Amino acid sequence: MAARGASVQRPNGASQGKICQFKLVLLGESAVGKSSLVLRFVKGQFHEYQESTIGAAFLTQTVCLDDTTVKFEIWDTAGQERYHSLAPMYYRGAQAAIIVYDITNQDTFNRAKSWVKELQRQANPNIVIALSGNKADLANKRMVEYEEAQAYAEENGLLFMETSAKTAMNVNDIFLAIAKKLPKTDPGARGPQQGAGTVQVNESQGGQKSGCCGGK
Amino acid sequence: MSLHIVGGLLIKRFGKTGIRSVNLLRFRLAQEFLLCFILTKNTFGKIINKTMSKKPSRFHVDESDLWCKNQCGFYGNTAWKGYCSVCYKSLTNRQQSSSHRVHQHASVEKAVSQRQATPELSYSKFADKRRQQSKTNPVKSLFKSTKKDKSEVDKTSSKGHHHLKSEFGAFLESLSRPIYEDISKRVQNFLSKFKLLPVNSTVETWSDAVQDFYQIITEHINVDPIYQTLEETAVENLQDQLEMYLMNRLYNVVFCPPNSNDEQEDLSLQKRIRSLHWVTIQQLEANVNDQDIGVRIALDKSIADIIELDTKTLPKDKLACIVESSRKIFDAFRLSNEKSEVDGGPQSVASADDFLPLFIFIILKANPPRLKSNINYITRFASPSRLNSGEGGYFFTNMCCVVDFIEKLNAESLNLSEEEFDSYMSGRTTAEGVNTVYVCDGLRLIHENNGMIRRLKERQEKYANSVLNLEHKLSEFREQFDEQINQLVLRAPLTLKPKRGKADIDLDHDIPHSLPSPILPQQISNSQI
Repeated sequence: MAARGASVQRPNGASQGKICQFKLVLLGESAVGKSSLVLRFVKGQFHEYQESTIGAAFLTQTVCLDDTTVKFEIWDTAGQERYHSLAPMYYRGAQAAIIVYDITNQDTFNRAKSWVKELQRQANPNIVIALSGNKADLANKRMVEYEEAQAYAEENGLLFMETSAKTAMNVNDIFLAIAKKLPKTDPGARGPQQGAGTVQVNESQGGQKSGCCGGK
Repeated sequence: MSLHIVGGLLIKRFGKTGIRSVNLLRFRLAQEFLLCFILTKNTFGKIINKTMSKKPSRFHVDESDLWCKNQCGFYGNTAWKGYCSVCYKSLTNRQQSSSHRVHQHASVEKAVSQRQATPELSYSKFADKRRQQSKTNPVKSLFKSTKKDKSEVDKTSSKGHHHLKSEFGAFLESLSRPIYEDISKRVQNFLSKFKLLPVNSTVETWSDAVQDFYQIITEHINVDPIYQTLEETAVENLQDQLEMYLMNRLYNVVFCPPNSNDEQEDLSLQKRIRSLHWVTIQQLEANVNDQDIGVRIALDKSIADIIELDTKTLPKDKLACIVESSRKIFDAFRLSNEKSEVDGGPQSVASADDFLPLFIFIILKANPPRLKSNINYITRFASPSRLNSGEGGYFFTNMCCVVDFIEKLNAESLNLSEEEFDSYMSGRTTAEGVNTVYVCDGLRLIHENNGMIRRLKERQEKYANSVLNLEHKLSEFREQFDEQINQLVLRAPLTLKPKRGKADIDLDHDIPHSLPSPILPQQISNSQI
């Protein structure tokens, strides 16, 4: 949560720099390589793979950016169409999202576009959205043109990269780009921010009630 | 009346036999039938009380002993003084209000008596009535509940939880003096304020109060200079301890409280899950090999963990149960994948695409008790940082999603046609195959053994067939062989020629005279050479 996300500056801890924790959701149709992408990022050269993590559904990874340590909590979502309606529960309160599509499959790109629309309409308004065209190593089977996706991303203010979980191309880069774009709140000016966070908590609770506990 | 007559006839019949034990039976039968008879005269309660008072002398426990004392058709529980939860609730409410509000007493009495008069009425009807009652007189009914709750708070604070208090106290003492004083002052303040909440407060008000308290404490810790010496982890620990202490104190009051719909929601969800017992792993498209024993054991453990959720008090522990259960699901995937890797299948780590369907399956099979109450409790009273971050938060979100999915589940979400779905739901079609075996170990073993026997039988039949085949072939071969030989014999009949005498060269035969006489050696003189 925002309250714990951006750590508080303490007299004794100021020298260590800030630690910011962010929730990042992974969206995209099944079999576009969402989990491979994250596994590559988490297992990759950056840091040791954390043995304590279970499966590839929930993973954490830390990146260092200048004087700030950014800790990503990566929430994977089920990509099958039938679970689409559950997604709001996952991206609620998320500060970042990666929408993954498969460059060899036009349908997954269309689906990604609908995700973008949904996030812009329903998610946290400050959410940082990145679009990832995965399986870039299969360029000979390409169905989605780079220029097309690039233009779409620019139009909607998204970060965009073509990635390959197989060759690790752009995998770390896309996470770093997100980390750079995320607001690293200045501890001095946290008052109102935290207030906003509070509202969000209540909203999310209300949403949860209507989503999974209410309706009757 | 006819019952009475039948009873009398039976008594007569047994009476003739005159055997002692049958006499006893006769007495019992007479008692039962008398009971039936009087029951029709509407003096049910009294008689029941009489027979109940006799019963403890017997070792046998009748099913009727387990029923709610109110005879509402539900089972009672010793924790509720022999009543069912609903009757107990109304009884305690009545007791609470009787001393304060006499007219309130009358309305509850009326409700109870209405219910007694129509014991076959379903719970839902009564619940509707109860809801209506609270609608027409919300302030009063809520007053009742808060009265009760507050007395419980008082009780818990005075009686139990000494251990808890000392634990929290010990933790606080490990901190510096000003922090200790500040925190205990704030907690005491909060608890006394919580007790003084307005009489018509809802569970949401309680939730807001607790959440506000968390928020205020967090802000306070961030700002107040006395906390600046604390490390980040110490602050988190302090928040944890605070939540633990508060929730231990308030659990009895705020978990599934009478001023919420939690109990009804629990029941309807339970019913819903029961009606979906036929859903299979395959229908949910979870890619796991459920035939494998190791996988099944992991799934069983996962079910056990999720059921344990209800036994925990603290949100933290409840979340730990969910995480543990999820961990077992990933274990199941790992085991399943290891097998397929050996078989040359693709190597993969389970992702959310795999996890969620299997988690749905687990919840459907486990049907965890009071699931809705638990979810509501965690959502309302856990500190927000738990729910939006960490493994606990992630898997809790997954569980909320699962419940949401189950509630909205229709034919489309299982890729079935409407007709198929309806026939499953109405029980016309029953799930077949492995999934139905997912009930208990014994049944599963039976299923496995049946399968094994079936396979063995098939093999045996195959062998028996091939043996028969072989026999047949052998006899055919023999016949053919015989025939061929016969033919050969016919073509070349065996004629025995007379035996020729043996020629003995040493025998002195008469030398035929026609032969010239043997050549005689001639002596040649030396001179001639």
